Amino acid sequence: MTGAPLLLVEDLWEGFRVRTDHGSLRRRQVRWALRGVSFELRPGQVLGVVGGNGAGKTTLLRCLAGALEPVRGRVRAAGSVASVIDLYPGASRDLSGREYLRFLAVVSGVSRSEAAVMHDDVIELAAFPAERWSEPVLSYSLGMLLRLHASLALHMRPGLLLVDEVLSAADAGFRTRFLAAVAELCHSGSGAVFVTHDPTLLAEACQRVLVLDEGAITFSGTVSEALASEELVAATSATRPLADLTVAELVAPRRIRSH
Amino acid sequence: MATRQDVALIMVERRLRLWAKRSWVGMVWPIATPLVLLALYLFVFKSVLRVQFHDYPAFLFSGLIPWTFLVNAVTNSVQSISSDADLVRRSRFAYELLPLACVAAAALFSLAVLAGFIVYQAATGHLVYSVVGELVPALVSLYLFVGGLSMLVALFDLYNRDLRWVLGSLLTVWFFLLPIVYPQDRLGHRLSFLRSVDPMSLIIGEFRYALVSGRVFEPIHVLDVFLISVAFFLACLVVFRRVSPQLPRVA
Repeated sequence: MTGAPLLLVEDLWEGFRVRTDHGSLRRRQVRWALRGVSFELRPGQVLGVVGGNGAGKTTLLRCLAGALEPVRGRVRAAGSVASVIDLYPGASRDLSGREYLRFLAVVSGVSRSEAAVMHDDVIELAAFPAERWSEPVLSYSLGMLLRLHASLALHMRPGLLLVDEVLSAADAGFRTRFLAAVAELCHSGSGAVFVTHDPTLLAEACQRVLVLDEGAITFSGTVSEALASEELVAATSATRPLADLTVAELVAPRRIRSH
Repeated sequence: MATRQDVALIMVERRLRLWAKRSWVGMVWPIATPLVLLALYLFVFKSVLRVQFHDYPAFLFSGLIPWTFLVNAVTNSVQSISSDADLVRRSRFAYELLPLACVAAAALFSLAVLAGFIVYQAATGHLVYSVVGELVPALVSLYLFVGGLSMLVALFDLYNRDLRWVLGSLLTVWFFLLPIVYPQDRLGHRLSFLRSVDPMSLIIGEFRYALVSGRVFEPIHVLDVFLISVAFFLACLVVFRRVSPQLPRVA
């Protein structure tokens, strides 16, 4: 793939001050979540980011979304960014789905006038019963919150779409429609980054894979290289190279661990 | 593309909606609070302690209006960032709008109460129309001062959770140090310096002059209060914005 990168990440370091037992922040102790991460993403590509719990995957997405300012290094995104990262509605939990969607849209960068008229598009994509849009979001399941966030992110037609491992909360129907919409988005020149533990998602949707371990990249390559790599085996808790597994085994990841 | 104004308006709109949710009369409480306090303090000071004071209800209410606004705004602001931690960690926006939206929503309610009181004073023949305009600088000073304070408490709460537990007690102490239920000269010589160092004391004085005494506050004092409030708001905003990049890490 040619052309200028859609996303350029150079020597990215990100860390958090450690909290004491009673919640105060220690002055000098920093826990590094990302250590010198560098990579690039070209238009049309979908990158899969894999790693164990606490490897720094979500922190990486937050840096790419611009929410976290890197301690060192830089992130350059060529276009607009939309993310499906944290789904908990927090203080907005008493708003109805419709009100929450509008609020979320404006905070994510959609103008108030556009947010007021975009509802039908997002409803169509999210595809949950119309009456649920009038109910408070606190009554929504994780899957429904995911649909709401993901549909909004797609509606925004971002240059770069960031999706955390929350996609595992989607049912098969929404997952298929969502991945098709992402493929269509990337076909028009956008890019996407998926954080996942799921090798089938890598095989289905991604062209490149990064494996993170303790905040550092331990593998970077194509999906077929990744599926044969020991790093991916370690990151997904499988017991042998994923390329050796059959399709049936790949789509039933729980059985992989029992081999 | 959303402008900062779009985000500010949607934040205020959300605050107002949340106020009304899961409550039969949610919107009424912020308006009813000063009336409830008025009834309570009238009972204590007029009926029980038998304080002799000319037009005490109006005197008391003119102090309760700015005070209940401050309490509403600050108590709602204190957890405004920590309760929206996911939002803060998800995307970058002007985080100061979270506490300031609480202030703006509380300001709307306090304006409704103030308008009601002005109408009452006018109807009972106690309002001097020519000095009502004096309330404008007093209101601007009040909103700026409370806005700054709200940003500060919201920020402090992120680093240390003690404030949310002691805030009620601190506000109670502050309430009794302010000339709300008693006139300024009853504070005593040793504490009289508070009048010149506490902007709320000066702001309450401005409200009382315009609404009850029908007199104009000295222009130099009005300017003093305004400049103190502007300086305080700007200082808080600068501190907030300096710490702002850290918020997704600590929220």
